[in-house]
Amino acid sequence: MEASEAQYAEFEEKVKRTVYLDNLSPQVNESIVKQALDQFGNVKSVQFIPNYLESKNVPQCALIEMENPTEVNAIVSDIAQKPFMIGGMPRPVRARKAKMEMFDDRPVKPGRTIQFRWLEPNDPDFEVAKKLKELAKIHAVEAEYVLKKQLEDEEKLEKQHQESLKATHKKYKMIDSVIADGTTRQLARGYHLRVADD
Amino acid sequence: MLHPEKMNMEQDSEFKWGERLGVGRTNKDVRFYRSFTFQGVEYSLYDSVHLYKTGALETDIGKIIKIYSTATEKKVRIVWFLRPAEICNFLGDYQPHWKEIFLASGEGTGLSNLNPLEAIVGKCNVVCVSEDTRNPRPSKEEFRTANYFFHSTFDVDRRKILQKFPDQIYGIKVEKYFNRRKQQSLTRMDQAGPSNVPSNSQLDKVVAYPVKNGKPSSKSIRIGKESESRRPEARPSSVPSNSQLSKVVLCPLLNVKGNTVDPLLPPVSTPDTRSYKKMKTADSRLPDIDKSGWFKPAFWEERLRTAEGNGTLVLLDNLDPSFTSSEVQGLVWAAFKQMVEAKMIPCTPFSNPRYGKAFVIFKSSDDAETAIVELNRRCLTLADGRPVIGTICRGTLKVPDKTSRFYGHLTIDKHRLKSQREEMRKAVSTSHFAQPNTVEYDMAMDWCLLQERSDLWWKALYQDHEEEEKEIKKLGEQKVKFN
Repeated sequence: MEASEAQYAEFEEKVKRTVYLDNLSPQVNESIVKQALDQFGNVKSVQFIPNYLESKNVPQCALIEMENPTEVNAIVSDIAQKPFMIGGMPRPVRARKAKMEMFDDRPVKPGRTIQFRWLEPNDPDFEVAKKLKELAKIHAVEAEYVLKKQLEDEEKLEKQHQESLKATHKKYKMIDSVIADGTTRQLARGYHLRVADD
Repeated sequence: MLHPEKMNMEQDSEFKWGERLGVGRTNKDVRFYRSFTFQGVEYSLYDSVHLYKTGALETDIGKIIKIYSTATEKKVRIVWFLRPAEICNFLGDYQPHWKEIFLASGEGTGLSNLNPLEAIVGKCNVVCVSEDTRNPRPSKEEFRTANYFFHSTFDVDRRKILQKFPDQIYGIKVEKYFNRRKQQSLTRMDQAGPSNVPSNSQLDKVVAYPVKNGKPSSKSIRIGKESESRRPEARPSSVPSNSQLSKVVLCPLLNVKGNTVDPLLPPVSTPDTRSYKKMKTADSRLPDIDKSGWFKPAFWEERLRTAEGNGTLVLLDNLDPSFTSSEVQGLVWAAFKQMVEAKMIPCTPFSNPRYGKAFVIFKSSDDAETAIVELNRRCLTLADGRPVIGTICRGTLKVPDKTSRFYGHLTIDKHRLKSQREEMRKAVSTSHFAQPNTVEYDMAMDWCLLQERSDLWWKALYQDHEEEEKEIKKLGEQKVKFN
């Protein structure tokens, strides 16, 4: 059915009040996202964008429809300024304004017709089209490679963080233990320092 | 996704009978109704509806001519509309419009069936444009907004398209099948009550037949569609041909008998496919209705996977990203004369903003392969010169996996950090902004940095891609000049 002007306009409005979130953990579900964004306004609907083609390690992304565009703007600017955690840390989520192409059920733009033609192998444009096809395939492979690299980088960063966290943790444990076994008090006495017990 | 039981409950709470018309003559358990509300939509007698059978590519369209409930089931009697593809062997020279469907008439297989009410997935706007004097003409607006129209019937017995409407179809006056009169009064509707429908007594017998597991509440929508929507009815009837066979049998039966070339598929070298320079317009309005609301995402995914298994799933690449699913459907119809189901793959900031992709489910793996061969032999180019790429999906779909690795969420033994424990638990289950005086904040900053960098490299990559594409296009233009 030809989408009427009104329907399309309605969809455009919906896009404007929708925020796109990515870098979401696979453990995050609809209710968690809803809970997380409810503090910014009124979440109307949450829709995860399914990922059928890319590596399964690509984080989840979701479209969240809010009450109005003002709320969307607030979310986008707040999350850009301060790292925002949903369902885990320290990797923050990212928020952007939603775009039309992110919706798989978008209506047809009224008045638009799609034009196409078949190029036979003897057509002068055939070679160009062929080359463009090849190029598109190469681009897809390149994009795949970049994505792989990105995931590797993410993994590296995680490892690095894990290490530093362990180190920090160890440090705190040590401090804990020296306080607990009285070493601090002994040392304080030795150096004539006053150590508060609390 | 909703839990099936939850869906059940919702469905039950969303279901409401409308006005009751009467009870069966011999079996008092049978109750006839004029309308009902199902999943928030009110359906009345003589409404056109879509019915869906799991696994089918297209819905079946029919008119509700009877609504009733037995002790255990809710049933609707449907007189079918036939899509051109279903009767393609009997079309002869007739070139149907893509919006055109045919009302079944005559007596025999394919005219009508009893269906569980749950098989209905939505209303369908069908107008009758017949010149018949009994038919109120639709307004232009009505015609424009209609999903389908019909102006002839298909006699399922003689297997012929008839322009002239019979006086009765399945014992119902033909006026009921025409457009409704604007001022159509309730009294007119009353005539349609079961009391003067000749087949009434037959209906009463329905209850005598085994009904699949007795509890109505145990029937979820899915079950209804999967196993029962076309269950052949085994009820004895005074008109045996009417009811012994289900509609499903119709198509193969008709196809086998008329062993002719499918007129819907033009031979490869029809004149209009040869017009090189002239751009053709794909009728984007082809896909009849917005089906997106019908299927929960999980449902679509399930069908994607089945289609991949059957070899009917094709991934179209290098489409205009602004295409919509229905436009892709229209494109495939115009280019391959194949009725398919298409869905755009949503763009994400990671995906190349210039390559639109769509999943297309063909009716058979042969159709899919023919289309791919055609795509590879020739080039299907769009208005901006981009050639469409198609591949049959085999093992392309990634299996969703809850174990998939997500980098960047760390956990530490919470018992050690007693002071932070409560806070952390809350933080993990909900959400928070990182505070600048924490380790978390520093780490988050690292992540932000990485995210920014990744944005930059994607941008750079796609810029490169664009330039490469431009160069090739330029080459092409130069060549044209030399020629």
